[in-house]
Amino acid sequence: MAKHEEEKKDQKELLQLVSFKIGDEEFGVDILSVQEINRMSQITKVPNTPEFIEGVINLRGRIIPVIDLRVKLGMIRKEHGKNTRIVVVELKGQTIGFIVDEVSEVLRIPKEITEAPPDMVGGVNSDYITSIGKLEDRLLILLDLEKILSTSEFNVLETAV
Amino acid sequence: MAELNQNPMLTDPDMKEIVESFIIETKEILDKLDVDLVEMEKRPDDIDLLNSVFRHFHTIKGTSSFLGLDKLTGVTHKGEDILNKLRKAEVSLNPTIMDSLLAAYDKMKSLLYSIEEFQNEDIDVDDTVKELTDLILALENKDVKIEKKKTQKKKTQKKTKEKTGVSKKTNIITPDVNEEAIPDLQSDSDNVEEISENIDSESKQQSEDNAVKVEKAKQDSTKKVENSIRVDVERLDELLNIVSELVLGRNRLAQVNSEFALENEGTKFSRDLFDVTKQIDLMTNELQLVVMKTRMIKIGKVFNKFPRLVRDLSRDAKKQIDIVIKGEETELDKTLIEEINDPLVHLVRNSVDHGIENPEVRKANGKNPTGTLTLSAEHEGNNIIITIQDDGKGIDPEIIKSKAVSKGLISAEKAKELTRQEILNLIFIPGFSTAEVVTNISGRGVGMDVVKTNITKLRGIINIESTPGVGTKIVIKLPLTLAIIPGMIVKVKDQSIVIPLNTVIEVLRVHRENIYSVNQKPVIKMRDSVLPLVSVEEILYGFENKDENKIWQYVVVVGIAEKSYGIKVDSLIGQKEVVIKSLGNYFGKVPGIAGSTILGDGSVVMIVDVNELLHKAE
Repeated sequence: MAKHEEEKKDQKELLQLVSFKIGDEEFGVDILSVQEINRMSQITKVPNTPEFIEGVINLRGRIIPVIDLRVKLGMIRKEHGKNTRIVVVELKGQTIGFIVDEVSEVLRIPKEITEAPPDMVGGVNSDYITSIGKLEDRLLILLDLEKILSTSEFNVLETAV
Repeated sequence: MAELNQNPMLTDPDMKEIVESFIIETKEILDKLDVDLVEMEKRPDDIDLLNSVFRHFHTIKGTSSFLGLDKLTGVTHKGEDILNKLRKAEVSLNPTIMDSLLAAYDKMKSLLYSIEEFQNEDIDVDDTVKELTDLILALENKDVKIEKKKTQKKKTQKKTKEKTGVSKKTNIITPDVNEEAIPDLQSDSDNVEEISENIDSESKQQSEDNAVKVEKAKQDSTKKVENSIRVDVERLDELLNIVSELVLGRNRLAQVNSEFALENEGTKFSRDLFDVTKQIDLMTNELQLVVMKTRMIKIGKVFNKFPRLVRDLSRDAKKQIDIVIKGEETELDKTLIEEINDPLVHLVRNSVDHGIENPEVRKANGKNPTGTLTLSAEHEGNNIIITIQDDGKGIDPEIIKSKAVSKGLISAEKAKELTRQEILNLIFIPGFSTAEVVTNISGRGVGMDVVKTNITKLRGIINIESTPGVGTKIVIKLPLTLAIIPGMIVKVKDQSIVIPLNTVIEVLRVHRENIYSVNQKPVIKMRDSVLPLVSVEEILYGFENKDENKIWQYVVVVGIAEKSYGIKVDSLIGQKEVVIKSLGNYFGKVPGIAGSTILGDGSVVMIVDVNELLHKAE
């Protein structure tokens, strides 16, 4: 019991993140929400969907949507290269893939070095950002995946079609 | 709130299984009662039927009292008492008794619902119990009178009606009096219960001795029961999912086999692989078929609700309607059964309300004053055909036309061009309702379009045929199952797509010179008819139609209802059984897309929803 609680405390203070790059920015998401990281595979387009939806992929017999995080975050679309990865995330019972430019590392950072985001960070709408991690030599943008996944925006687009 | 009132017996984890099986069994019994009660009204002299109804009540009474469901037991008991009187021919069935029995049945049904959903019996049954008790008392009094003078039967009945009417009134005005009256009534009814229970056991013995037939029938039915087991639907769904995956695996194997055979033709290896592939293919097909069959339910489950519905509706509308049910043994997938119920209810309501005329009108038109409504189901290949037919006044195309024009649904010019069938199909347009008077049965202007949407969602087709003065026939064509469909795989630009084969009529190769332009829209001539040409890439993917200089153009001709269209495709790949997979919650419903599937090579392809596609094209 005591040990378990200690562990919990530790987890509270330390954030375990998967970090990846899109353009010049480095982003982080909670490692627990990341299911796997895949190389690019064949993506099938889904008609009548918003631009940021790249399509669907076959993940071992399951069909999951793939979002181009670049486009979703308002950056210019870029050709996929050999470092491009699909970060497969499971959140609220939905499995979704995010296309990122490259995956950098898994890291632990203490919670106290993060702080609330300013209004605009590197052109990314702060709605999608939980906090900013100030590492020694660089900044890490912690993304709020639930916001990104929230279907409200999608539904708006859908009814507009 | 509801949780506070939960019956401890129902929430006891140890009792869970017992309660669950009680609910399932009681539901089944209630379903049977639904049919039997209405049937009993038609054939009051059928002793076997009466006995069967009585047995059903008796069973529910027994099991519910075991579970301490006092209200359910109470209502059922009263119903049983009345039935017992009927059984012993003390009284004969009349509309008052029938109504009370049906009221008891309705109460039992809502009680069961409450038990299932909220684990309690929080439904007011006092009225029903009182009504039944009053009836029993009245019947007993009447018995005496009947013995004296049988001709007074009707009058007494009327009196009892008046009596109950009065007592209901007092009920409302002075509750105090009522409270005093209830114990009296109850003690009365207790006596009645005792007596009737005595009679009950006696008559049981009698019937046991006499009704050898019934016993036999019972034995037969128990035998049948032993041959089947209940399985959780979730397990069946799981099984179907696994089989779907297996079908995908089989497709992949077939592809690998054909690739292998190309490179290693004639070797022992390729022959062996061919044999194995063929065997797996056969087994998978068989397994798929068997699993599909386990999910099949007789459509009777849905149809059997209609006699009661029609009875009640025709009563409200003061019409005389006979309902004929055919092909209730026809089986279809469970999911379809669930989805088809609401549209059918709607169509039946429409027939009763708008289709079949009043008895006077029918007589004046030289028809049988009693209208007939026929519900039937049959298999046709991989489809099931459900027909709802009435011999009512039919639909006048002229009225439909003028209505559609006056409502601004179509222009007057366009209305002139429409064929008869096209005019009838106008009633499926949202916002169309022909009823001149809005009744509580139907005619609120929503409806047929919803019916059509629901049927289309099930990948079905609905068609309407009607002759004024003779009747209306609505035909619904549904696929037997939803999960696996035969599809035609085609390529459009660099994307493969699947067109459901049930919509494909034929495939053509059309020469560039044979593509014409009408109103700046491309059409082709096929034999005698002109088909509009649709470009999938334009509608779905938004590509510009760059009018390539292709000399030959492949065209897949698809048909929805009576309309046909040609879909332009770049190449044809083949025909395959595909497993429909939903695109998931994130996408929700994508316009023009029915779902997706995984092909043998592991790639994901979209399955187009031809109906929606053509809708968008228009």
